[in-house]
Amino acid sequence: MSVLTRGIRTFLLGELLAGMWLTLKYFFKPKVTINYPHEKGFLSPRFRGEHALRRYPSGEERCIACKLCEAICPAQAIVIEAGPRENDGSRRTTRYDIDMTKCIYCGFCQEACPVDAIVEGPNFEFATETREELMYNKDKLLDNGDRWESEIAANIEMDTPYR
Amino acid sequence: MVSTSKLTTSSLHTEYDPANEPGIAAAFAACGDMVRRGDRDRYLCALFAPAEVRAGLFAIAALNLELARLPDKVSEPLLGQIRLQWWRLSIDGIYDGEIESGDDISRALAATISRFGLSRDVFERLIDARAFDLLTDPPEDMAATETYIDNTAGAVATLWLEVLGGTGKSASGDGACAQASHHVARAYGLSGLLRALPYHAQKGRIYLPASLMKQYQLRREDVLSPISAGTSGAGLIEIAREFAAQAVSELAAARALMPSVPKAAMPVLLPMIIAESALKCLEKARYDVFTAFSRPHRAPILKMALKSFTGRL
Repeated sequence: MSVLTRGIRTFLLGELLAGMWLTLKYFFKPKVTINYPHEKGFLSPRFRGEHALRRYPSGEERCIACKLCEAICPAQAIVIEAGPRENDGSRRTTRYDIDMTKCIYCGFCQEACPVDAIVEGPNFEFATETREELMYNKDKLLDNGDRWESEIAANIEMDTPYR
Repeated sequence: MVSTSKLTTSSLHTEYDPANEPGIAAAFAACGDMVRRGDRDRYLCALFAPAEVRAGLFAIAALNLELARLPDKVSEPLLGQIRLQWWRLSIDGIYDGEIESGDDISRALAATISRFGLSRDVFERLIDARAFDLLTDPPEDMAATETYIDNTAGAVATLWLEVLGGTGKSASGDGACAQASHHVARAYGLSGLLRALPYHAQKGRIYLPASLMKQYQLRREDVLSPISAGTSGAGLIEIAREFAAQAVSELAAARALMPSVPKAAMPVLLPMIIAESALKCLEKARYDVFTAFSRPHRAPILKMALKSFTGRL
């Protein structure tokens, strides 16, 4: 490139105009960003987020205290204590704790559960202000289940087609 | 006890309700609903059973469905084995009278087993056979595939027959009926494996016998990716032909036994109609499995109803 053309380009702000032209093009293109807290990105039905304990449609809790999730958990984040329930003597958990700071979200608990009681739901927004709030107990997990049941059920349905 | 009316279940699924156990109706309803959504073929077949035994059929089909879905729910064979073992213990518990409360399927099964006195070994066969689903290796030869079918579709048919026999119309008992249902289950299983082939291929599972694949020089990759199967599908077409021929001969064997089979056994014989329509669909597609069954095959409901009412299959 000769000195002359380079001089002319510099003098007429060619690079600046090229850059502005690019900006203008993107101005009219569809946005690639989303307005996050109000809009959410796509989540796979297999997404493994916050845990939940599900119930049967009758309102009965699914978990039968088989402790398979506790056994399979590689991070040993789950602690279960079981005993017969007072009203009908059926075996249930008296304590179901998950330490969410230990959990590595591998999803093994959900895969090991024979009755689809413990699941990792689609919720990923459960940041807390204190560490103690991440020690989930049974009430919290069942509450999560009640809150997310429709989404969880839809995801399970989508993820397990059968012919 | 909260009502389950929102489950879209009518009285259809909840025909019997032993008063001694509260909530058992809900358990049966859940099983029926599960089968309705997950295993449409067996759901339709069960609808042709007398109302008082229908819930029992649904309980068995629900167990089968739950076991069949296992491979899709787990990422590693070991996890699937754990769940199968849980079902084994749970069935043992039912027979040894140790069931405490358990889940819907176990409770419905416990009620069904105690009412109809179903064979324990058939359940064990069903659970053992499902362990094969967790692996991705193809079965060794045609005999292995047939054993698999006998222990899955065949086991369900056997259990169904035991339930239907409990109606007092002597559906089972005579050998002809058991034999006919065995042939029908074989044919249904063979056509079912072909129907599910595109789906299984997606999941990396193969149910075509390794010996046949070797004979027709069909490689694993040819089956697993439909694109290459479209181009080099000659071997697959030949195997599909062989499966179909086998299914047709099983159907013929079942047909020959039809005159001595009572009408009460209809639900275990109706899969015959579904198998036939699937085979017809396959034939129309010139035995190209991926074309014929790229989308789920629908059971011919009207034909099933007609055959069931006339009693001539």
